[in-house]
Amino acid sequence: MGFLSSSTAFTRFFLIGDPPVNLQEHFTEAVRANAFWDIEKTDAERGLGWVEFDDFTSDAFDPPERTFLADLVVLTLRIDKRSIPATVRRLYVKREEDAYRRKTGRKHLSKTEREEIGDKVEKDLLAKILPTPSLYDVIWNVPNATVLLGTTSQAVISDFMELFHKTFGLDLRLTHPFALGETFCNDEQEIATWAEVEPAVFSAISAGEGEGESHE
Amino acid sequence: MSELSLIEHKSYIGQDFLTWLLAMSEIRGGEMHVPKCGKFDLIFDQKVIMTSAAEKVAWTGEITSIDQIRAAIRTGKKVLEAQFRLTAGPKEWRFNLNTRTFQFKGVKTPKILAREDTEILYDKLDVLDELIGFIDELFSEFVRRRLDRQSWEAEVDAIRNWLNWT
Repeated sequence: MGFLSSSTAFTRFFLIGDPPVNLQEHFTEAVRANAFWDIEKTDAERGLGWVEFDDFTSDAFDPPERTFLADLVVLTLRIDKRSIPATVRRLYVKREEDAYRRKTGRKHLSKTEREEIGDKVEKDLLAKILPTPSLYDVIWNVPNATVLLGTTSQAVISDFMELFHKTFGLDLRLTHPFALGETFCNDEQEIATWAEVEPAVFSAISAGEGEGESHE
Repeated sequence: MSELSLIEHKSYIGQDFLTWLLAMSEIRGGEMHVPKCGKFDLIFDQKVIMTSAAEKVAWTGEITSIDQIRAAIRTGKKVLEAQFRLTAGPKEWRFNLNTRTFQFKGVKTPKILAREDTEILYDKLDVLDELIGFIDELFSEFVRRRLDRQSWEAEVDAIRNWLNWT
């Protein structure tokens, strides 16, 4: 989902570690090296990588100034996937299995034979199915050391964190409530107190749930 | 502990925060005031997703009235996600905030007037940053109160009273 859409969803991250001063100089080639690779002419199930923020067909990042703005790095994560509908797969596997039975004159196929037929059918079907692209905008706010990713999908978040690390050599931490709370603590004592905070008890029933939580 | 385990283990923090936020929003008539952002209005906007881990089969569902939310919290249900409307001067945001990872969904921002691509991006980012700033400041207030035992006891008493509003 794009940040420029009328309705957007996003996940926030803290940047761990200090990036170099001149990001464009340091990272243009790394972004190009991790650019999206097109799977259209292959039988691969999934292709993943960076494309330009305002043009998801471009993986050139030329000029790099369109990606490395004054205090932002803007990219789009593109993930293309081929998926075979289950009923289509079942139909073609059955056809192949029936043909194999006729050819060999046998009624029952071994597990290995069925697996081999399934794999071949899958490979043939994947080559015929067009990949579907999904796009997720990324905005790295350099002065704030924060990153926004335009999705809330856990699967995409994992792919994104991995690719970000591979590209920039920097780790990200999800801005979840406990992590965010730590940043508001003024000293080690407060951090220790924050770590010990227990679930609040707002009602008699939640106090008696007996879920193994300790309550105040 | 892995980060994912930590998120699960500490999931009550976000649940307590959104419960506190729903209560404070209604107790204060929607008027909020935090040092860095000044005055703004934050009101519950028709939808809360709640769950009850205490039941054998976890229940998750939408609740659309504040009375029902109070009743659900009284029976031990937890807030997973809530929809709010935030107004600051002429600007208005609508959004859902989840308790597990503070992800924002369905975010509608004030209208962007810029026409040039880069300006639109910066303006959009500004209004998203403003929204994040409001929520972070509210969460910071929650953390300050949570760290102070007396202050938090007073908040819990206020929330318990709010739960019995009719």
